[in-house]
Amino acid sequence: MAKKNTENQQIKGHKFEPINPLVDLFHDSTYYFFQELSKVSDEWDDAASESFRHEVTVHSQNITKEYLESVLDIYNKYTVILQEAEKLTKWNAGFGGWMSFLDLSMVVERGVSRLFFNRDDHRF
Amino acid sequence: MAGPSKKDAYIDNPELFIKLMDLINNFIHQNNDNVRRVGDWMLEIENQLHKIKELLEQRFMDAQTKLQNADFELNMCRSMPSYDDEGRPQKPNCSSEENARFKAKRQLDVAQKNLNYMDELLRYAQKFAQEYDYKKQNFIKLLDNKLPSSISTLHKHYQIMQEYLSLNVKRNG
Repeated sequence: MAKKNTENQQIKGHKFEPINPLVDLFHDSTYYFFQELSKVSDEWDDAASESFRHEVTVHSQNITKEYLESVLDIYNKYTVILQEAEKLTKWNAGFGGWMSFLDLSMVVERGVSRLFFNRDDHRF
Repeated sequence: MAGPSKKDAYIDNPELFIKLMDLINNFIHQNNDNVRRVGDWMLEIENQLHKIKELLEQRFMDAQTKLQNADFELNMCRSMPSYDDEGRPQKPNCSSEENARFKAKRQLDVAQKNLNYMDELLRYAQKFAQEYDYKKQNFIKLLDNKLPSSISTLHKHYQIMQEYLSLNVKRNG
C-alpha cells in the first residue's frame, strides 16, 4: 500500500504529508485529477466546457471531498474503537476510565484540515 | 477581431478530449480499487472487534462458572458440621470460601461490565459504518454513473470535432 502510494506521488510530482493509510491511497491521485480538470478551461472554452465544469468537475469535487472526509472519519473512529476494545482484553480492564461518545467524536476531527480540499495553500 | 464567444466551439487541441477521457477512466478504476481497499480494511477491523467480543464472552462464561463453583464451595462449607474445643456445635469458619466467592463475584461483575462496553463499541462501529456507507454510495454513483456518462459526452464532442476537422481538410484540400 505504502509502495504504491510513493509511486503515485512520484508520478504526479506532488507529495502531501501522510494523513492516514486509507486517505493516503486517494489523496495524491485525487489532487492530480482535479488539478488536471481545472486546466481544461485553458484549452477548451465554450458552452460545452462550462457545462462540463459544472456537471463534472465541481460535482465530482464535492462528492469526492465528502467521501475523503468520510474515509478520514471512519479511519479515526475505527482506530479509536479498536484501541478501546483492546484495552478490555488487558488484565486490569474494567477498572479504568472509558471513552464516551463525545470523546470519540472529538478524536475523529484529527486530520480534516490536512485534506488538500481544506487547505488554503492548495486551491486550484 | 473579437475572440470566440461562449456560444462558439473553442478548443485548442481536440486530443484534449482523449486526455480527459483517459484521466477520468483512470480516476474511476483507481478509486474503485481504493474504495474496495477501504472496505477490506474496515472488514479486518470488524473481524478483530468480533474476536475481542468472543474473548470477552468466554471470560464472562468462565467467570460465571467460577462464581457457581465458589457458591458451591461456600454452601458445602456452611453445611459441614463444626464443633468448638468443648464439642459444642458452632458456625463453621468459611472465611476463605467467602473471600473466594467475593473475588469470583467481582470478576463476574467486571466481565459483565467489559462485555456491555464492548457491545456499546460494536453499536458505535455499526453506526459509523452506516454513516460511511452513505457517503460511499454517493462516491460509487459518481464512479459508476456520472463519470462514465461524462466520458460518453466527451466522446461525442471528440467525434463532432473530428468530423468538423475532416470537413475543413476536405474544403481546404
